[in-house]
Amino acid sequence: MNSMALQEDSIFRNLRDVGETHRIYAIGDSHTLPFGRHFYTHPKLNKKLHIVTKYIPGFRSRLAFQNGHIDKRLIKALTEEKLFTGQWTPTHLATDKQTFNTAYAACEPLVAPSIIIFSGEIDLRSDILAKIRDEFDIDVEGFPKDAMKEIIDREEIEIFAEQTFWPLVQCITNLWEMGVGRIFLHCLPEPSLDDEMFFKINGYKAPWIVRKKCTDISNRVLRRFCAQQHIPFIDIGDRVTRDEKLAPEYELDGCHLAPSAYVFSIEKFLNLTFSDCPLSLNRSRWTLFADLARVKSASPQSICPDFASVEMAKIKKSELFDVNTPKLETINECPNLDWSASMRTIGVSSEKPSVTALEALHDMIFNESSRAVLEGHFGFHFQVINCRFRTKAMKEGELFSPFSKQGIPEHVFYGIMFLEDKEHASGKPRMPQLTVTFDITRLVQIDTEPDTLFVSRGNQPQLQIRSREDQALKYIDFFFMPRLPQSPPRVNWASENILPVDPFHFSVSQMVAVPEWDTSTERYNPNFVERLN
Amino acid sequence: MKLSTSNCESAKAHRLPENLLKTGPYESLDSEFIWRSSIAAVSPDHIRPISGINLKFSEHHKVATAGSCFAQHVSKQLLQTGFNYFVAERGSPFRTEEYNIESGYGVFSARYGNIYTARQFLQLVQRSLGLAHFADQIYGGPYGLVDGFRPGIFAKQGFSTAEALLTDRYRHLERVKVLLEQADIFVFTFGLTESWISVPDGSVLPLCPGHSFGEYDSQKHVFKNMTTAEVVDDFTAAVDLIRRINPDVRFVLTVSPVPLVATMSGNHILHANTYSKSVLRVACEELASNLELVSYFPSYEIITGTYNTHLYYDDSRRCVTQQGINHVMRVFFETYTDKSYDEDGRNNGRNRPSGEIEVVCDEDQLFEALAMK
Repeated sequence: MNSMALQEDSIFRNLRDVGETHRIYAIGDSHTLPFGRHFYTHPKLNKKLHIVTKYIPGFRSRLAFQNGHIDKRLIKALTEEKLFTGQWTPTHLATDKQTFNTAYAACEPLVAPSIIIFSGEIDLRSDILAKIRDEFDIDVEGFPKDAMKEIIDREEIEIFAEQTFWPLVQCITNLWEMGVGRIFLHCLPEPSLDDEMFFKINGYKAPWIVRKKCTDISNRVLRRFCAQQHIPFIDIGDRVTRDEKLAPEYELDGCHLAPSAYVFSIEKFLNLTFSDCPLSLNRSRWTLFADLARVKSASPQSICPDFASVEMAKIKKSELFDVNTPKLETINECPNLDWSASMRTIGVSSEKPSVTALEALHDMIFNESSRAVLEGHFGFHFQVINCRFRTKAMKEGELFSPFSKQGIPEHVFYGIMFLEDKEHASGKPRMPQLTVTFDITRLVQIDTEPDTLFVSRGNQPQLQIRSREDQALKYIDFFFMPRLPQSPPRVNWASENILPVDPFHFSVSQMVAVPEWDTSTERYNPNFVERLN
Repeated sequence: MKLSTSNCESAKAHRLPENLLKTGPYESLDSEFIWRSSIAAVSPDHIRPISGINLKFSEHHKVATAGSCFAQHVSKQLLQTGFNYFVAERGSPFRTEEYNIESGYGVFSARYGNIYTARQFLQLVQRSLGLAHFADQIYGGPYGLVDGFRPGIFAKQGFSTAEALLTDRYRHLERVKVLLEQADIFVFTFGLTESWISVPDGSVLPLCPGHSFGEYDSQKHVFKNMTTAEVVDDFTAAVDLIRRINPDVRFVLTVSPVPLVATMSGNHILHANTYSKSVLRVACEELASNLELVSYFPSYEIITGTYNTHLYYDDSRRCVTQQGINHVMRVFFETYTDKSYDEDGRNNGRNRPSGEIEVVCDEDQLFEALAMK
């Protein structure tokens, strides 16, 4: 008895608290397995990343989205990891009392999980390489061709690869639409140099050069799809190869990469999260910005067909994009609606925005065209009741949590916009409520001062002053918290845009939609701002 | 054998000693050499005009085919019966089988389309080995550019650019070379003696431009009706070239029983057809006699034999019926393989009924052009 106790004691003495960890979910085919052996501490953030593997045997790209439905096994995997509720709803968007209580008890919001999808390699072997085998070669620039083999055009395989991988892309974008906003797609692994092992595993021969060409073509297709759909793509091909060949230290078993290779995946994941800031991380926001950017050249009805025609009479051309002040960056055209252009279109270049700039922002917010866009985007009618600019740093104890710039593209001046629903019956703004049981309100709030922390009422008090580096921020962006299609409006906890949280996809309970104004914020008042300048 | 009275009297007048009669050369002939026993006394569909062929091949031998459209029957039956029908140019595995066949893949062992004449075959061999270079022979067509050397391929799409056509041709010739290097048995079906020659460089075209592609230019396109000697010389030269890279390849020669669609010889079509088939038949005999590892298979005789031609040609009196093809293929398989030919294709190799086989025939384009006549 005593010895057992001693033993247990010694065991527990070796245990140490690793502190708070953040999970990254690796879900998909067997290539998730070697990835799952990582526990990673980010040196700068002091964040501990824990890779959680969810292996779905035989998870294929071609079957990932069929007949308008996501592969049930993927949903099942997400559900088993508690990322989905049993009703095909992302847990972080759930509005049931239990979920809210859980979040509240944990003193942190339920956040959109970071998910890295692994799929396509089985398709590559079973659908593409199995057709080519060692009987054909492929005409790929930069690679030699086997003169004894019939040559297939690269385009032929590319077209087939597009058909093969498109369901996977559809699967991811549909998960997005459901509110899982932080999904990454991992590239197909570099092929092993071991032809014999490939034959043993697959029962047919396909020389390395053919596998290499097909892998490159497939990854190129995936990369292009991801760029088009704004899916962050974790591509580690150049990190695990030397002279185009898989480096021996990353060989595992003739099929999978060694766990050490996936360190590059984590690096890439972090880069995508912090530096590159892919559109996908804030897809809803990007879409909204794109729509807003379109306001300049399009009628509100073309953007939001449901926008009431009676409202059209009030609409005047958006002034935001034409405000000619030295500190406003105006972009005339953004035909491709790309991220940076859209962002800059409504960005303001100023550490301390001028009255003109703020007026422009104010106009933009209240502009009927913009409102049409916003209504179309959010899917419900609302009225902008106010616009607030923060001018003071928060003090500890003010129940304001920090607003980090992590995750926001550099040179983007940011702010927060809440919008408020109108009561359909009375036409009046909705009144604050203590529980989230109905359509709730949002309000516009803009944070103008670089060293000002965003306030989010109801958060746990946790003040964190930004570093000087963060204060170098020069531009304003708007953060929107759009409601997802088919999902009820909710109060979003806007302070958590730090890794890995998407500021748009989290929820907490007991939030008040339109709280009382507190004294630390100022209503937008041009005269007041002028004094500041 | 019953003889007439007059003949009997004549025999009496020139009576030879009995010992000589018993040892005369015809006395020892096997039944296959005697019309009555091998033709008249045999059910038509069991006639087997084969003698002296000792070539056998199995699933391990790569069998290649080329020639006129009748050769496609051999191709497809080999494929359906599980033999190693060697296709060096199969088309993309990412396209449907229908698309590939429509584009000319798999119809023959390489995507050369119909090869009607010995000279066309010789020039193909020369081009694939880099020994001859001709003008591009690119023509306009209803759907795009047409390869004059292979007008039947890609017929329903056409090539979008000359570069695409030439790239495809370059790849094709590479595959032809591989085919010539690796084939164990080459079944070649002679189709025509009449051909069209491009004047500037002497290249032979399978079809005269002007009917379904390109424009006819009497200054550039010259009619040529090959002689027996020319056919023999051309094919011998082709065999010599092939044997430089593949010494052990064996050839099985046949003559297509399908008559000419039309003739430019100036003679009646029946006259011209008889000439053409006669030349080819004699040429085959000479080639089989003169060249080692070359044999002749009498598909022409099986179809055109007098015993039941009405059954082996359809109403056009030109197209061979499935019954006739089955007869040819049955004899072919009995002769060259240890497998029996299953007309339904159910017992051998791929479990796919043969049924009516659609044959791609470049000459049909000419046929269509002449349909009003």
